[in-house]
Amino acid sequence: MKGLVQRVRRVPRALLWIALVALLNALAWGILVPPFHVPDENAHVAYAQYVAETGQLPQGTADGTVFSPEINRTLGALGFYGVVGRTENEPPGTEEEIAALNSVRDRRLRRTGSGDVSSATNNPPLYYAVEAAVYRASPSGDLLTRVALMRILSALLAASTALLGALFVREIVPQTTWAWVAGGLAIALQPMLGFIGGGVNNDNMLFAASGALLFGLARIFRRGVTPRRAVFVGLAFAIGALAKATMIAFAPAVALAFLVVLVRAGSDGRRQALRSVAAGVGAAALPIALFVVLSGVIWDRPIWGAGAAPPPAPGDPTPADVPARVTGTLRAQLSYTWQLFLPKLGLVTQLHPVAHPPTDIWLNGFVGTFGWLDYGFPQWVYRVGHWLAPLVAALAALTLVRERARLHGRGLELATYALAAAGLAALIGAAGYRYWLDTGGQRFEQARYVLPLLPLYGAIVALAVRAVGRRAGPSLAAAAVVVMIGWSLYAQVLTAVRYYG
Amino acid sequence: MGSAAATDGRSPLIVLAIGGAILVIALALGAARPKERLAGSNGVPDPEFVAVVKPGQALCQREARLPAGAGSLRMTIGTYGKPGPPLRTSVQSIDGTRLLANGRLAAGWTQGSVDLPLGATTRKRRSPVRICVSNPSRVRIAVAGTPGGRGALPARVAGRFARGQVRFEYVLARRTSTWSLADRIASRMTFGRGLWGGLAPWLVVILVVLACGGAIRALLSSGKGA
Repeated sequence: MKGLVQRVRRVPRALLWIALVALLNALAWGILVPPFHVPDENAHVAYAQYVAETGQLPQGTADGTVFSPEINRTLGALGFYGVVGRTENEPPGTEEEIAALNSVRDRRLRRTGSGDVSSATNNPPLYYAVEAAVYRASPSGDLLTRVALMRILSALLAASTALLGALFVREIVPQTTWAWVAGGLAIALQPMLGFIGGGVNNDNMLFAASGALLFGLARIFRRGVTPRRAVFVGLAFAIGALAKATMIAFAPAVALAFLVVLVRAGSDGRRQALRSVAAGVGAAALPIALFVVLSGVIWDRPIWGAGAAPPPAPGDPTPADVPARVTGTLRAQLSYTWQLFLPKLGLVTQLHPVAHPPTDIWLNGFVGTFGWLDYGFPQWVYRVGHWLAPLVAALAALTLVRERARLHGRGLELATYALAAAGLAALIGAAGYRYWLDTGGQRFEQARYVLPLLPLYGAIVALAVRAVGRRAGPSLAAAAVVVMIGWSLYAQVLTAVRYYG
Repeated sequence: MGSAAATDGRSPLIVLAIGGAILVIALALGAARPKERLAGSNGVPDPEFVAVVKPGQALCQREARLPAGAGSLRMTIGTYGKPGPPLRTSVQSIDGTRLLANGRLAAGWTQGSVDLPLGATTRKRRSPVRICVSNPSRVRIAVAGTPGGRGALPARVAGRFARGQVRFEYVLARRTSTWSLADRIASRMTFGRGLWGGLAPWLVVILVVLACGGAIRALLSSGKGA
């Protein structure tokens, strides 16, 4: 205990402040955004409720999605389906509507549905198991009170994401405190992290686990491998994978890192390195293997995978609408993924419903698209983002060029982080392509899917503020923090006006 | 390049002070600018034209509510390429005994999204109501909405059912600034908040202010060899 206290005392104050900023921000988002208006929150709450009420995991059913009567009636009283996706409509708030909601809250409605919780059904259970514990621990049986408490858990995970992301950035630029603090604050104040961190969504555990994984890899590369460090990486991977299947995207990066460690160890240290890597692989594999066995033997449910695509609404395209000549081939898959993240090459068929996915989906989405993708900033904010993003990237690149001597021997470390990003891109491309085929050309991708890479974003910001040198650097870091605060505040004002104005 | 470098004069503090002041002024000015706002819609999508209103006919549709403060109806109307004819709007109580609002749109508008004035605005929300758009001109118009009915009766044109329901958006009569909405935002934010209830708006303000202060504190602590 004494050792732990000493360790906490040794933690730089700035790190604790960064975590606190992310926590306060996500808590504010959690109160600001009406219940269920974070993407798929109704399905995530339904999953946690089903686990808490039955002790079982959800299953896809032939009858389709039926949330519990308590959730359905609450959604109805909140006017949820009249507000989500319809920016001209606000949640109710008149005296009659308050009375109607209170009457739903006062009734003891059934708390189990069909067990099919829509898009969340096939998610792994770890995040929901923890949320189910929060649900059970709630002093009140009121669903909305439980959702408010469940959102606090997500906010704590957002704080962990910022803390671990800042630790990663600190490993990358340890010499310059103000630079890694700016990088950490960039993560803590990122509006999409705050928004998702304010809601019940398993992405929050994935983000935190990804932060831990990247931090763990950085420690191994910079300080050498030990069994404890390798187990940290393995556990981070397992926790992420048991929260959301997306974590699998980082498997190639982890494999490369462990391989590099083994090769670099030399004959003297190979035994020790091998033991460490084995411990890391075991820490990742054991919980996942247990989950696989339980899924097959006891729960009888798919191991991983997103839930079924929702049925197309009237007027939506159907599978028959996807041109046959571009479907079902590896080339089409590669073309789809390429177009998703990189500029479209001249002769390739346009496969995406949006004109420029790299900016329209990822950059604009990272700047901020909130609710169920139903509102965002005025266009000028995205235009500023289109200017700032290349500027920040160029400044970061300038730092890398200037300090290339420090990069000597770090090529494989950088390749590992690049592989983590490429793995995530490939996974998003594969899942998006399948969804695109199944639904006849509908869009799957959302900017929140790249938030597991937030630590890399923080590192880019830290490198960028270093580009102007040690005299002007702290001032640039201060200016960057002002911009981040303004960006976050604007998103919150926008949200207040969208829902209550 | 140690943390001592971060204590390079007071320039980060000056940047924070000037940047913070600019930020506060920009937010205050942005929030003070009056903007047109919607009071809501009837929630009916409008992917296609579902009703044709010929010269001398009127389109009427029963609506669950007319939001308070609505000053005009926004509809998608086609004129077959011709200049928009004069149109009349009226809102009646559902039994037809009381006229709640009425207005007139002068000729010369362009087809597409059109705002039809409602004349006197309603202070209180009215429900249910019947909204009518009459076409006293010699030009036919088409109105957009959703074919069939989304759980409600389609619009009627000259007393007969049209192909579907038409979409109405309600535009607030007064352009309002975000500042002027502060009270409304604070009171509406308490709805459905479970644990937080009436404290919700105050908690949000406190948390946001603390988060901003924490960010500044984190940056400043980086200059103290943290």
